[in-house]
Amino acid sequence: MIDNMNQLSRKNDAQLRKLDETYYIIAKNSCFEANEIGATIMNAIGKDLHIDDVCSKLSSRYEYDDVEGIKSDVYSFIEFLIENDIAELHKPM
Amino acid sequence: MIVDINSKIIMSDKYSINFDDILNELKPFPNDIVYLGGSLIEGTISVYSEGMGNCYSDIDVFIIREKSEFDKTEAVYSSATRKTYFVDSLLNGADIEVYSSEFVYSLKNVLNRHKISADVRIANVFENVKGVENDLFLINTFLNRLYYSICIYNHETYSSLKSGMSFRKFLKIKDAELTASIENLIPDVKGNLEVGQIDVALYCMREAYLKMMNFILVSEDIFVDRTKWIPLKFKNLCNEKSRYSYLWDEYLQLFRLGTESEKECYAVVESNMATVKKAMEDVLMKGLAL
Repeated sequence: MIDNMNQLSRKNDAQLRKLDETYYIIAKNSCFEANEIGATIMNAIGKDLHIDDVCSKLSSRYEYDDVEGIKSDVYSFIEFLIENDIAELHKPM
Repeated sequence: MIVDINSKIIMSDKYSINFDDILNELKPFPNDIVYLGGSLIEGTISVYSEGMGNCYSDIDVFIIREKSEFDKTEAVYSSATRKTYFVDSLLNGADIEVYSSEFVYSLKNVLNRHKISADVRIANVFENVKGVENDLFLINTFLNRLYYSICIYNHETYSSLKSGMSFRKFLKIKDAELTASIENLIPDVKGNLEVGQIDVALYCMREAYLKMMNFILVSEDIFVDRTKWIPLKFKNLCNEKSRYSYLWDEYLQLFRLGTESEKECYAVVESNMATVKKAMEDVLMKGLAL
């Protein structure tokens, strides 16, 4: 499992866009709608941010105390990004 | 994508369509002129445009329509001169640009009547063209696309229109416009060099240089409707007429600055593309930063 967002990078020229209030993740052959939390994680890819920091900042931003629950969701979302060729790992998970 | 003019067919990895199928989809009026244009067509029919068009380019469909029918044509974008609509089922999503015949024939008449003279301001040449009010950019685009086009409906009227349109006279007007523009830019370059504003001087010099290349292309009866095509067309011109090659060498110095080789330039452009996207996203998504 990664412990810092800088261990991930975007793949296939993936981009994040916002139309009205909806975020979209656009990759080479696919496009996914994302909520604000998904967009925030996507936006953090490649940045020097420890996963624990990401989770605690999300916890305080959205006033949701279950940090472990957030961590599990963040990892699930990262897996989704990897499985869909939107992100890739610099070192094995 | 391949445009085979002789077989009247357009082929890509996603579809294949012949000209009659395009007409069946468009259902033109009997007096419409329908022709195909855009970078892919231009790259196919003009030696100076070789290399234009890529897998992201589309084929543009143009219709010249009598005013009464033009006024009734429904479109997404509308002006007195031009209407644009889209047909998703055609050519993998085609833009259809409809021009009013009133504009087209009024442009033809104005060009035919126009006498090149130092007394006439360029800005006023086209004041009598219905619907455009001296929009030189629109007129240049319209003429460029008509000049490099393939007719698919009403061939006789199309040929008569093209042979009667004074393309060369328009290029003379364009020549004069470019000359004035370059003459304005050069003192700007000089002035900025003198006060040490090197970046401004470099920017202005690049602009002036591109305009000079455009000027030479125009003097060779080559239309340019977008600045991005100037280097491509100029390089093709140099391949045909080596007397201009020294200008291409200097272009490489001015625009590639340390990235003269194709490989180096490719890498810089690729890296710049990523930077542009990232910088845009950083600003647009700054609210998401943790």
